[in-house]
Amino acid sequence: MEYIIGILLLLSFVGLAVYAVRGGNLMMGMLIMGIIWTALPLIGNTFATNPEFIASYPGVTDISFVDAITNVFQSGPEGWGSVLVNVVFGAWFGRVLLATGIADALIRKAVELGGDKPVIICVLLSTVTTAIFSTLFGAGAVVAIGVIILPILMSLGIPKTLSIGSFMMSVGAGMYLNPVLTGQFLAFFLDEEGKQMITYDDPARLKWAAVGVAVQLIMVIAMCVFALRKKKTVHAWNASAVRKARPGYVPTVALIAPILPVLLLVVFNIPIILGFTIGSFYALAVCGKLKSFRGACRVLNKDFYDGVVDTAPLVGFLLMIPMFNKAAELCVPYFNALLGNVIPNNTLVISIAFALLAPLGLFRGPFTLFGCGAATLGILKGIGFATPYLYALMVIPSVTMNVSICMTQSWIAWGVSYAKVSTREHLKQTLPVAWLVCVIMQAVTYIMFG
Amino acid sequence: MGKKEKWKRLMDAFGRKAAPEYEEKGYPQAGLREMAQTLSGTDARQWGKYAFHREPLEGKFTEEQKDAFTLRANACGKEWAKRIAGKYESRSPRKIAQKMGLKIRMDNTSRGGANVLFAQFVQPDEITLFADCIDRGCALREESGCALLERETLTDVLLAHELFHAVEERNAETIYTRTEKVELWRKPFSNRSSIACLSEIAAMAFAGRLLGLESSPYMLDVLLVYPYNKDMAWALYDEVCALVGK
Ligand SMILES: [Zn+2]
Repeated sequence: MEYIIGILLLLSFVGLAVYAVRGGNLMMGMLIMGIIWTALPLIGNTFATNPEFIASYPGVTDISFVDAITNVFQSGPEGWGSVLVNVVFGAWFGRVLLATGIADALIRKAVELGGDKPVIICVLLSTVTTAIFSTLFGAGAVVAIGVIILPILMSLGIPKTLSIGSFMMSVGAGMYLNPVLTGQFLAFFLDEEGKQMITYDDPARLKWAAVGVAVQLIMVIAMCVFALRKKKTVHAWNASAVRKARPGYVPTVALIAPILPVLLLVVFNIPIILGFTIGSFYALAVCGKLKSFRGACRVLNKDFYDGVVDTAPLVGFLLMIPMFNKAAELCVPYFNALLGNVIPNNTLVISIAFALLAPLGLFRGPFTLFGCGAATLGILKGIGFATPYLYALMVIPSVTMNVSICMTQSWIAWGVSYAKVSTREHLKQTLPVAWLVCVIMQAVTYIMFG
Repeated sequence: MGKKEKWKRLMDAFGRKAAPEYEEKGYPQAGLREMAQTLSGTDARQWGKYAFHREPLEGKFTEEQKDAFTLRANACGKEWAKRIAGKYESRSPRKIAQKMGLKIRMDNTSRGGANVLFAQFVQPDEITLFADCIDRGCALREESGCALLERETLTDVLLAHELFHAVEERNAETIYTRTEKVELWRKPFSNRSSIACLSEIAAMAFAGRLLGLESSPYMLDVLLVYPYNKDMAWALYDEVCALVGK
């Protein structure tokens, strides 16, 4: 009986993979998977006869129907509440950086330092982009920054594929540290009470994330230097949408605002929500947006609203994930029965597999948590690896493959169409570099957590 | 269907999720003819303002400096049009390109969207014209009343503009658009940079003089975007009007 259920679970997993790859709606996909992965183990539990199997999973194989559906459909999404709050505050902070013109000013400073030297410009703009997106999140933000940076890169004769590739991968580099995105990953690791098993400010995780930022940023810069060595620049006559009028005065001291919340968190242990709040008010104050109480209220309202709207499209999907996660826990005994002897309980083998097969994180494949990787994680959890290891293992392809280069990521689809490059050209430029980043990071992960 | 084609179809199928649109709407609408008329009356100094509005290093210059740069870049473009026409004994950009040993390529893929491509020069010796853009531009010849949109003229203008970039490339040591530099770093460090928009200003003046045009090819920025995206064309038109104070 265990085997039949196990096989059915595996089949549904393949179904999700096909569905995700074909571009199906993931919110619906997660909900349906949550239902299937609750129903199948419950049926299995009812008919299980092997006493040894039943005895080895107390509390799972003998769970009552009401307890099971409460765990999956009520406690699951409820437990995600704390993550949602972080996401909202992060989005607000991002909006403040855009509205005050700080992000704009940072880019202008970088360009005014680099001038017409494509390599210097690429290095500076990649670094600035990474710094900005170590806190900023959302398609709206990427587009807002992209329409400033991409025309600059192209007007300097930097080839389109390199412009778009380096920009999007720099955004992705920042995402390793990004509290909003990280919060979404952390939501995959909640215990029975809905408490986080690994937190943003966990020192080892934070160190690992910083290494991730550095590795990906260095690889992006290496990609630029390598691609520009032949100096085959392009002069294009094109017309693009107007740059918005530059917002008011931005003093130099305002330019540290983007990394302020993370800095406060790492150096002074100031919790991230307070960090976002301090960062926002710091930015608003030095840019002279807090002159009157009434004006301050209006700005606060507006930026908060815009920030929440930025994250809205994600929230639905992310509230379905915990249902699916909880359901996956019910499935653990069945996956173990079926795969316990097939998937090696050996971190070295798993790490090597993830390094070699990293492109499976593309197209919502089995290695990205924003695709059917959520199910892969469920299976791996069942085998019983340590949480920090599993976290790092899954986040690498999710960030470097999915969020950094995959066409199914909304802002990358935007950028690729904006720059007029084909999917193939884009992947040819970025995939080798992204793959290398994955290999390096999997090695780092094995050394740190394996 | 070839292997390449199949591969491309597969990739497109994977990446087919529609790209989100984040375009500005709500600019004052204007008729094509009206825009063409206003734009053709815009002078070189005013187009200089437009060019500098898109210049990454804009913040480094005062309005007076920008005007002076514009003046010199225009003079440079005209001067080189005279020289090149004399040297190759022709005013036809196609013939000059041939004599200079440049490859001219027609690209038939559509290059619309948030960023419309007209033509490009790729180092060291290749000029690409985007056919779709020319076709759509010509279709507006009657409606706009703009002589630049005559098929032959339009092709020549695009070619002449890119031709200037090739000329620049071959005379990088002496040509004004490359020798004019601005110091970006504080002492004792030094990073002297050329100013990207001067090349564009000069390329337009080059095309204008070589082909004896009455109005600046800069107006194509608006007119060639129009058949792809009216809102964007209006946005560009609005930008020009605001800069020249109309
Ligand atoms: Zn040009």
